[in-house]
Amino acid sequence: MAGETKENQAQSGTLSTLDKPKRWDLPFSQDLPNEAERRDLTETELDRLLQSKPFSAMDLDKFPKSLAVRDILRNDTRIRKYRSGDAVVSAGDYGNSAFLILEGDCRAIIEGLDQSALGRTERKRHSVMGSLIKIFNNPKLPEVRDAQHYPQMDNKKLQAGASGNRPGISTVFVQDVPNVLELSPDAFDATKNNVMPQGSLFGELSALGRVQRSVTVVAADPTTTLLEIRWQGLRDLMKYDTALREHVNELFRSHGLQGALQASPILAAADLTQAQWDQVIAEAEFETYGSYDWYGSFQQIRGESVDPLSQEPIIAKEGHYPNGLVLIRAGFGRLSEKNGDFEQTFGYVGKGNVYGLEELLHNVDVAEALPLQSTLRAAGYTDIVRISTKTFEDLIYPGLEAARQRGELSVSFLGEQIKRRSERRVKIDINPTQPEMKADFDPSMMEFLVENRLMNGTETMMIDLDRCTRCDDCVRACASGHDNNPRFVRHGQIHGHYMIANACMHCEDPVCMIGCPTGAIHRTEGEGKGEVVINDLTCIGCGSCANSCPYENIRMVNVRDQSNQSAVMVDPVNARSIVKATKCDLCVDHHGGPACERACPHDALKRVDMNDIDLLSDWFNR
Amino acid sequence: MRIHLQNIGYKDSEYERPNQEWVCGWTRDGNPCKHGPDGDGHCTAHAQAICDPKKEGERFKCTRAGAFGGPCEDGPSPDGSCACPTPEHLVCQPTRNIRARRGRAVVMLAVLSFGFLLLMLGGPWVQSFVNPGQLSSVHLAIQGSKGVENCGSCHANGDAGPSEWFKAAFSSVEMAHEIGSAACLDCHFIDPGLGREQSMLVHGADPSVMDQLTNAALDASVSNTQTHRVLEISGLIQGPVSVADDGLACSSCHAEHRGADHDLLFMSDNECQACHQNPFKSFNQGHPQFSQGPQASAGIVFDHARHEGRFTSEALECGSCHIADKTGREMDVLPFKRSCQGCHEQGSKDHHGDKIKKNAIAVLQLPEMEFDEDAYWPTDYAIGESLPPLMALMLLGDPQAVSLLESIYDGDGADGDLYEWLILTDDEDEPELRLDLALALKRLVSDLSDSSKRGAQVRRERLSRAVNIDADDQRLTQFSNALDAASFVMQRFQQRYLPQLADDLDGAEVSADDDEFFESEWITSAGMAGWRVDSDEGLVSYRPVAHADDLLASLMMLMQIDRPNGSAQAVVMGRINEAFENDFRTCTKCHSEQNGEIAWTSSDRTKRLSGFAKFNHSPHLTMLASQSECSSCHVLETSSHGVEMAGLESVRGFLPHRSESCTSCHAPGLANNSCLNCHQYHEERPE
Amino acid sequence: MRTFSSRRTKAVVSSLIVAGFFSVFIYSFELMQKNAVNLSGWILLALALVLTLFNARKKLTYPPLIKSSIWLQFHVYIGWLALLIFFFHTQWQIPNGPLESVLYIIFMLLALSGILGVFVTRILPKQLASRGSEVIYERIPMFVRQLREQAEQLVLESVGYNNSTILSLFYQQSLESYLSGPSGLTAKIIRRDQEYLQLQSELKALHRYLTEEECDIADQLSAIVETKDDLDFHYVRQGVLKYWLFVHIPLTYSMLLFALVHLVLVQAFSIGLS
Repeated sequence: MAGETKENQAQSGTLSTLDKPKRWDLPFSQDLPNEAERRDLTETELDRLLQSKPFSAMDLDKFPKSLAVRDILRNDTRIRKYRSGDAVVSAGDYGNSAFLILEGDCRAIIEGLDQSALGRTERKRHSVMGSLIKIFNNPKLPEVRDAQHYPQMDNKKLQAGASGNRPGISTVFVQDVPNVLELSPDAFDATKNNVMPQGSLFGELSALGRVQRSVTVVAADPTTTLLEIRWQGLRDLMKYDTALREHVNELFRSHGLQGALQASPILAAADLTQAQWDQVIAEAEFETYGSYDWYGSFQQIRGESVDPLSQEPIIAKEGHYPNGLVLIRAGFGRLSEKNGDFEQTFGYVGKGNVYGLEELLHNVDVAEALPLQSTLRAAGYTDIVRISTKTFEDLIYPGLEAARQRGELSVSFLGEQIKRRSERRVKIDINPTQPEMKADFDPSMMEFLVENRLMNGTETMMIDLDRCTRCDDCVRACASGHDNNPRFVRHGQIHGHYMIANACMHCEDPVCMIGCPTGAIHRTEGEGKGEVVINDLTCIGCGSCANSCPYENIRMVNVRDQSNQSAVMVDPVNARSIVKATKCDLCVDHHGGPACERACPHDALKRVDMNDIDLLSDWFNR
Repeated sequence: MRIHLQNIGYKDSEYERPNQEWVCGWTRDGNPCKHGPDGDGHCTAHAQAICDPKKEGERFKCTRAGAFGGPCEDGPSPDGSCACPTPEHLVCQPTRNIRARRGRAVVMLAVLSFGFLLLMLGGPWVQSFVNPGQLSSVHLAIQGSKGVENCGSCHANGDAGPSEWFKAAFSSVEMAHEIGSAACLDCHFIDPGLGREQSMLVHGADPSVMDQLTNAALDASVSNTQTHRVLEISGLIQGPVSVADDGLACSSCHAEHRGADHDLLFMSDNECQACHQNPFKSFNQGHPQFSQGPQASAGIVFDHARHEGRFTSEALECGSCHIADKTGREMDVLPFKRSCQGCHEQGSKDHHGDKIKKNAIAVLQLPEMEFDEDAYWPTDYAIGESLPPLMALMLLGDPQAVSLLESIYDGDGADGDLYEWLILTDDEDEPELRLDLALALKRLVSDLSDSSKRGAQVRRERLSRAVNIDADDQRLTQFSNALDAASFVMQRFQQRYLPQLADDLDGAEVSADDDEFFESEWITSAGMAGWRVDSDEGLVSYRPVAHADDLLASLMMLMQIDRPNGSAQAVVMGRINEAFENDFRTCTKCHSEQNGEIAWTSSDRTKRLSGFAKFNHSPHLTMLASQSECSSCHVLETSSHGVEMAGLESVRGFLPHRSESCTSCHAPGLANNSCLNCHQYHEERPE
Repeated sequence: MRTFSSRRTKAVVSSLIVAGFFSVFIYSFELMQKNAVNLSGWILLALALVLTLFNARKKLTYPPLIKSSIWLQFHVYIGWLALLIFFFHTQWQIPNGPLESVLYIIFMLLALSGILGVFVTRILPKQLASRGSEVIYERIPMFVRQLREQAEQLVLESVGYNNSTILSLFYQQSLESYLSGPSGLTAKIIRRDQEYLQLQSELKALHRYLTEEECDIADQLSAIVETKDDLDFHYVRQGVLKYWLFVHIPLTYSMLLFALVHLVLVQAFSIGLS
């Protein structure tokens, strides 16, 4: 027995070495589903790229040594060929890369494309039986990995779809493009850039903004060649090249804006003609408040006792003249109103919400205009589109009015618009027919949520401490589905008797992604709900995501080598143990949704979507 | 002023892993080592120190993992072997986490229970262990003392032991009732006449019979009875009860193993009401009305109505005639002497007075006859004008006399008129017939007057010939005994009128007249009660002395024997009937006569009362303040005001019983009102 | 909106209905002279198995079985039902056979522990949430140690100021033992334990002899004691929340064992009862 013990200790003592992963261990060109397509860019190709726009126009000296354009191209891009009709990106997907058309042309399809034509497939999950079996042959020790699959071991052994690219996404074939295009009545006039000529860049919006693809793009040329750029790469390029940055912004106005505007139900309801759209877009101003990486400053101020409001740039101020309809494109805005001397937060707005609608509705042909009833601040970082009052009254309001008379647009729908952005209705009755807005929960809770930017979460783990028996069933359930590793900690910020546990909230705006050098942390694509997941194979354990997560929901762990008595893996060079970032993946690999919620016997734990105020307040008022 | 304990920063707080079975032994102390034990609960403290030094230029460099505190200051020994600094923690004994400990507890208790069961089932005490409860006191003998193997005495394979029990439990063979109840029937035979199978049947009756009865009951079922709600509901749930044709197991009513003081015989009403298709609430609510009145004894004719109130109550009460029998269940009728005699007999010897004289029964009288040639015959004293029927009856026993009697009683001829017959014999010039008659009479007299045993025998035979029933018939014996008592009287008669009879019958020469005998006096004696000799008329007559007169009674019984029509016997009997009609009526007034049977006593009634329903008078009698209160149950027709008697024929002046008279006392909280208080399941089998 | 109270009323009402149905059903068997005990026995067995399945469900976390919370709801109410059926089965009296008696006792303990559990799991969490800072049970020793070290630090400081040893003595005499582990647990289920109160008052009392700085330290010490008290408060309650299952679950399986034997015997001996 004793002997065995010794041996055992010896075993767990033997070290398993693994090269320290680095950003470019796995070039983008190698990160592809099917072996055939994997090929590094040749030098000649690189040369050609560097001569062609936009790279030719770049001032290479502005780039630091470590990030030479050439290297970026080599590692963060790949050249892909498409046949006519191949869907390059499909609307609704979360993309982590942008595309530059090298050859041939592509077409954006705003509407009329049957989703099924895109061959959307369920993300690969374990079969129920599979999950069941896993539960019973989980490794005994924590954080055991099958190191054989790490690229550092051998690049040839890369797993298909390692970085979560939906297998076969690139080979979805849309039958007979012309017809498809005809499906949309004025396909070719729908947007100026419907036909995207050589040299044009697309997909950068969702790549950078961490938002869904707004349109489907199909290759319209038998030999279409695209340069696919990892968003990390694009980010770096933009960082050091102003031209590209401006170009991208311009692109947004031209492609993205209409999509973004139409994404807002209220504007969609006004159904404008294309001409009107163009007008709106032409006049729309879009502004960005706060910093793209707001979390940094946020983490700084969190500790100190500084009034958060002072840190948040004001977008529109209470009492001012409503000079336009504000549409939130990305990020969040805090809604507050004067209450005596101080301001009280009573709500927040997120992507797709509008601000100032009631006031505008009220002010339409009224003598004395009603000033804004609340202040809108950029909670961290906010992208907004502002449509001037004039445009609203000239184009959108008539549309809405018409829609309402036609009965297509119910008052309650308008109400809905208002409700989504706040719990408390504005003080004076703007529209008597508006539905009564209930005051659903403790404003201090609202304060707390906004204060800590928790409204960012779409799957926030809330625990009702009045019911939680601390039985840890949730944790155990979680572990059973993740190779015997919990993916959250049952502690966290507490307000009243509610705890926001340290589990990934799968944010609307996943700032954790920003820092990631390899794109290991990404949103699931295809039918995935866009959960934020980490690809363990490409994670290099730099910890930038863990650092950037404002909620401390990503944890770095020392990994063990399954093939070597589950010994801790270390980097032979500097004796550092190999760490990987881990977090809640919402059980994407399993059926039935997050196990933690289902495992809670006392209805104490819930994954709540902060966008759905109703559900949230229902839950609070159980 | 609170102290902040938990930092949630990802650097400050790693995953808590409650799913790990083993936790570092130092946790209790509050500083577990970062690394923790390995999967099998071994401390890895040593291992944490180990590294394999790496050569860099000339020097070796420690490569201890960051997870274990990074490279050690001293580094490896010059020769490149790991110097292995003492770990920050000493080796610990990892402990199971709380969850794992719970798992252990589960296993341990399970094993414990299993062992316990094995021990109990394996040991000699197994039967006491599995015994679900003590047997009732009556069966304790069967249970025997501890550790005695005796389950088998009732349960098949009861002694077989656990392994067999397991087999039996999972074998699909459905045990039949018989086996289950066989053991019971070994001792308890419901009815010796009944086979085991039959004993199990419902009410011990043949299923088909039960069905008939059920249907009959259903047809007659009283609609207005209050039904038992719960029973109704359960009826709805369960549907009508159907008992298997092989009946019920004893255990389905008599549950055992309920402890020593459990009464096996106790049944709730449900046991009955479950089957009885028209379930009513209780005896007090919805019990069907009784269909029968008090059982009538067909024997003694007695009209209660006429007697009631006829005389002063203290003189005549129910109790003056009725008394509970020794079991106390039934009421008997007191014998004549104690019940009726009080009024119906003054007790004086001669209670019949003149009335009796009139119908004193002529038994013996020599008819007046003249003979051409001289014959031995007391001509002066033989003055009878006809043959007394009783004498004629006795003559019938004389074979030679039968033809004579026929001629005498010949309807076309004399038709019983002796004088007529004598003339006829003259006309037809057959004087010898008179001699024959005289001779037959003399034989009769000698027979009657013979007081010896042989005489009695002769008389019996003669009578048996007369009424042609065999000699030792009870009725005949009774009659002849009565005659025997009279033999002394007969002797006197013979000595007075035919002193030389013996010689004469022997054929010796005797002189016609013999006056010297006439001095002899009459002597009376106790045995002769009722017998009388009328010396003037040369007549022996008999009059019934008291109630229950043997001669009369036996005579009446003999009269019942039917005989060929037109035969001399028939005629003679007819005559007797005419002659004694009045005397007979005095008896039959009370002693009813049904198809040849005369009820002398009040025939016993328990036979008639169904064995299924039982009633016990004695406890009720104690409840009565005065005997007159019998009427609280036994309601006389006359006094039955307002009691409707729809289609229920009253018996002997009594109305049928009303259950109300019972339920007034037999009600919840008062006297027992359960089914089994009156009904006895096993007592009588419906047929 | 679906509140707990409405859910509770729904559940209670519906389970009452079910219970009523079962009662009538079994009682009707009794009236109809069918083998009601047998029936209730089988029902009981079925219920027991359903109840046990809850444990299995907790282990099978991933196959999309019904939510655990719904399971618990059924577990609780079926538990009550099972108790009722059990009484029917035992005909509201204590059996007098050895085997049956043991089974009876086990079942009763099982039921009682279950009932205890229901109340504990509904009452204690509120208390936990309402006092002290939320801590993970397994980490409590760590925090205790943390506090102890802080206390030691403070005491050393105090000595540092002017070599007065009042606090250090106090620490050695009473504080150290108090801070070295959980204390007065049983007492804490009801209220704060004596030791705590005493320490606090002693600390107050000390102020008279202490300098400015030392008073300040004393206050910090009392804060530490306070926190430690809260830790104990959590420790005992979370402990109860975990340990009542040490009775409930093991009993389940031994109960099933005994029930099995009981069942076998009944089957083997039930000749004549059909």
